Amino acid sequence: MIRQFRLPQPVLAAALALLPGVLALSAHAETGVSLNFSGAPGLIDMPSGQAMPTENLSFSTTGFGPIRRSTISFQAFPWLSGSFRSTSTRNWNDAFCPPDCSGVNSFDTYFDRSLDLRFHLLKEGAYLPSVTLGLMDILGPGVQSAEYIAATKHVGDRIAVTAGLGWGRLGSNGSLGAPFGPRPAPVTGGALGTDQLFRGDVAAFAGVDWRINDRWTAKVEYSSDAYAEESDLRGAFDLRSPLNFGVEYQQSAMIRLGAYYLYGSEIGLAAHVVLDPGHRPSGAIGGTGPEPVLPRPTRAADPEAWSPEWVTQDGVQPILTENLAKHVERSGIKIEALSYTSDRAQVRFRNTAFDAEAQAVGRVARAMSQVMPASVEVFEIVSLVNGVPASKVVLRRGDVEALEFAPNGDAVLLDRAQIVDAGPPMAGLRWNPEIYPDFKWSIAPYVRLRFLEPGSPVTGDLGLRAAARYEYAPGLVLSGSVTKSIFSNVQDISLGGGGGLPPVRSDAEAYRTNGDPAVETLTAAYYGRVGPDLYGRVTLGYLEQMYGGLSTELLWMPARKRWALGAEADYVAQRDTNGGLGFGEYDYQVLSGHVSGYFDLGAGYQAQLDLGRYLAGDDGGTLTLTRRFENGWKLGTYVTVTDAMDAGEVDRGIKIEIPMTWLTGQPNRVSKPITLQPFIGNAGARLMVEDRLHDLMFDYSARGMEEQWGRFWK
Amino acid sequence: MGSVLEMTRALPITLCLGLALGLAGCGNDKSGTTPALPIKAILKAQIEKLKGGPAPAPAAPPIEVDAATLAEGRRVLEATGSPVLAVSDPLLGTASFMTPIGANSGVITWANPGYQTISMRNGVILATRGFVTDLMSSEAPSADRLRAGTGTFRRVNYVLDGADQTRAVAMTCSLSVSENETITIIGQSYVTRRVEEACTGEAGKLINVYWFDGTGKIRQSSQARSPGVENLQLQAIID
Repeated sequence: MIRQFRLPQPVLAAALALLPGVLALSAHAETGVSLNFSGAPGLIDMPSGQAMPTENLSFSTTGFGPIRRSTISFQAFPWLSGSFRSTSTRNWNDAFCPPDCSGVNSFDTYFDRSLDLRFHLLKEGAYLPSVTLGLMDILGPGVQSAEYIAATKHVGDRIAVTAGLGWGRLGSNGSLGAPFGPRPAPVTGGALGTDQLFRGDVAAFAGVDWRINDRWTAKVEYSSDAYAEESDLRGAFDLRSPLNFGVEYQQSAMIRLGAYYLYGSEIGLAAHVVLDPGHRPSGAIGGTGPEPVLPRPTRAADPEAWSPEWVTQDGVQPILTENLAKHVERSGIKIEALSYTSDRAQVRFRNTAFDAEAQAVGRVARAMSQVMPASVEVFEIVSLVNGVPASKVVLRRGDVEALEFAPNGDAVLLDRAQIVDAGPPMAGLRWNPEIYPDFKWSIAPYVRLRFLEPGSPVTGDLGLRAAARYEYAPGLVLSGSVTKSIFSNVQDISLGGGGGLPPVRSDAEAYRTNGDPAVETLTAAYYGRVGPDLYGRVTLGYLEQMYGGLSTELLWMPARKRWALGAEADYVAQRDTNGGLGFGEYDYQVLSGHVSGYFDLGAGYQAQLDLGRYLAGDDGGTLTLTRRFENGWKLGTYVTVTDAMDAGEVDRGIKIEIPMTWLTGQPNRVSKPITLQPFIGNAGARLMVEDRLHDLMFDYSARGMEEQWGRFWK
Repeated sequence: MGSVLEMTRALPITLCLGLALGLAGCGNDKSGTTPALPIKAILKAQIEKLKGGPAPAPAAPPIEVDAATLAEGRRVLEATGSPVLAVSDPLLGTASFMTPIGANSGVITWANPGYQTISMRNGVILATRGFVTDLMSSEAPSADRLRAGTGTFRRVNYVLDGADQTRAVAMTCSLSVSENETITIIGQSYVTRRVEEACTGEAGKLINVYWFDGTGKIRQSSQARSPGVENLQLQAIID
């Protein structure tokens, strides 16, 4: 009997601190920049003029008195960084409720999410300070919003002095006047509050950061935040002084801890974890070495070996297929089909191991050099994903032979290779009878993490997932999974139904508690190449924990273009919460779907625009910006607007995917990375069907493959 | 009888459940399964790191091997009928014997049973695989040039960084030589010329050492993959 229990919060907080710590065993360079209570470069509660090293990702959890903040920040470029934060304020309604328990006073603890942007305007020089312009809570001009400009200058190596001007929250203590006019009252909901920017009272803040040694730092600051709402109005805590003091301890290159005395009355604690997702902690990737390339004898030395007569011999094809399969088996590669003429051979293969498709292509090329008769001069290597030919790498065998040990041979080979649309199969294609039908099963732990949930930096559900997958023929997949939770600290979040919408996502907690064990998925799916650069998917069945039905998708992804277009239409019904196969509990069906545009912005950034109808029947659009790291990390941020939201309201969130290979340093293509995503409401909710085409195909596209081409010879 | 049979059948599943609970996961689907995370090892390393570095491993006592045992060892290796190379990697703490598995235009690829490979031209490493931190390719000096023992030249080692991008580590190298150093490899002594290749570049410095025997062959060497990574140690036991 497996019993369910909840993890106490401190354990979870420790787990949050440990998780990335476990991931990142390597040391990062000491940056000298530290983070504040809002997870932004700064002092204690105040920001500084500094920026983190580019592409650093930080997780912060901080608290003092009734206020707790959990923040994820990413320094996207040297000049731009952003933060996503959840703030909770306890004792919110103490001063009002009873008797007034209406509206915002109905909350004992008030939760808020905010998004910040920071522009690093000036890098510190011999005389000039480091300067940052910050916009806090840009989409929700309410309690948390503020703007600031801050400058930081080092005096000697160890002391940094910061001074700045703040508006909004940061202009609430010690006003110097309102140079740009009064600040308009906040609009309810998440409107982009451009009217408010730099309006209203401005106030000054300042502080000093003294790095005593490599481990310890002492900080003192004068805060320009009066906590007018929390302290004066609501009495959630007693603000007696604008001076804050603290000490911080750099526990390791990744982890920084701090203890503080704030506002003359409160003790504060902070923990920060800083990661560099672009770089695997282990540095390089592990795994066993490849086979060497087998060069052909010269034609003069062995003219017989070059004879093309083998093409017409009986029984050659199965032997070659089998030999190829033997050579790549150790690498987790399956040879699905082979076709050839006397001078050209095409292998269609499936990669079950390598996160970098280029490495799998390299292994197949090596095997072809070992196996294919000498007259074969051109290797065509086609990657199959769920049976769908995704792209074709065309290599000259002479190049493979000549460049195996050439200095920087991968770059030279990429110049000479062609990566193109897979095209139709070559004539005489023969499928390997060993592959289909293919049955796979697994029992493995699953982790569902949610983060920045109100009141807790990370909540999660850990359990076991039994999964089975039956591929009847190329592209035709029957699969299912059953889950059983082992422990969880997910809390019941009553964020309300959201504007009278049907509870399309808000009953997530009921699904978790009632549906244990649960039939998570049970589907039949077909994936196919519909035409040149055109792919299709049809999935029927129990698509996800909360929905079942029919999901169809088309994707047009030209091999060498920066863009792709997709369309999806789903007719689904909401499943019962008990994890069974019924649909009676809600009696809710909806036709939803989107047209999607994908655009590769370069430098690893990808934009996606979805327009269409969401699960609650609301119409609108989602814009997602994702940083895809070559090693599989994905950091995405999105905004959704639908007609079910109040005027000016915007739903925003972030999504982080951590690939298993990054943790282990071992190559492995795992279908389910660790995903961190905040709670999703009813408005702007989408179906979570597996293996959407763009995600599935991108790694195998020419652009995806070129990103990791360094792994070809690995 | 029937129940025994059922139990036998149920055993893999039961075992699997146990394994899965231990965060290992199992099944026949290697792609969909969470890989067997070396969680314990990683945690242990992390805890040791928190405590201030791993405890130093107790030094292994030097193994005393008599001449007869060495001669027997050499006979066993010779009986394989194949050239044999001994390789140790202080970084991973492994050592193994390698035999040739391929040749491409004068570059011999050697492999051990665990499929780590080293590709060399006349004893000079051009590439390694399976060592986690691998030398992907290189512009390396020839054995002839090294044997000369003097001179300055450019060397470029190509490695992959943590983001899978190829990084060229360009260095300037110079040679120095010391004569008549006697080395012993499994009971056999060689009088060698010891040539040191010292390289420096933006990424740091590295030192390769080659011991040339009387026939001019690199008998023993210590060769780097990239600056800051410990050298691989090689001994040619059987030619």
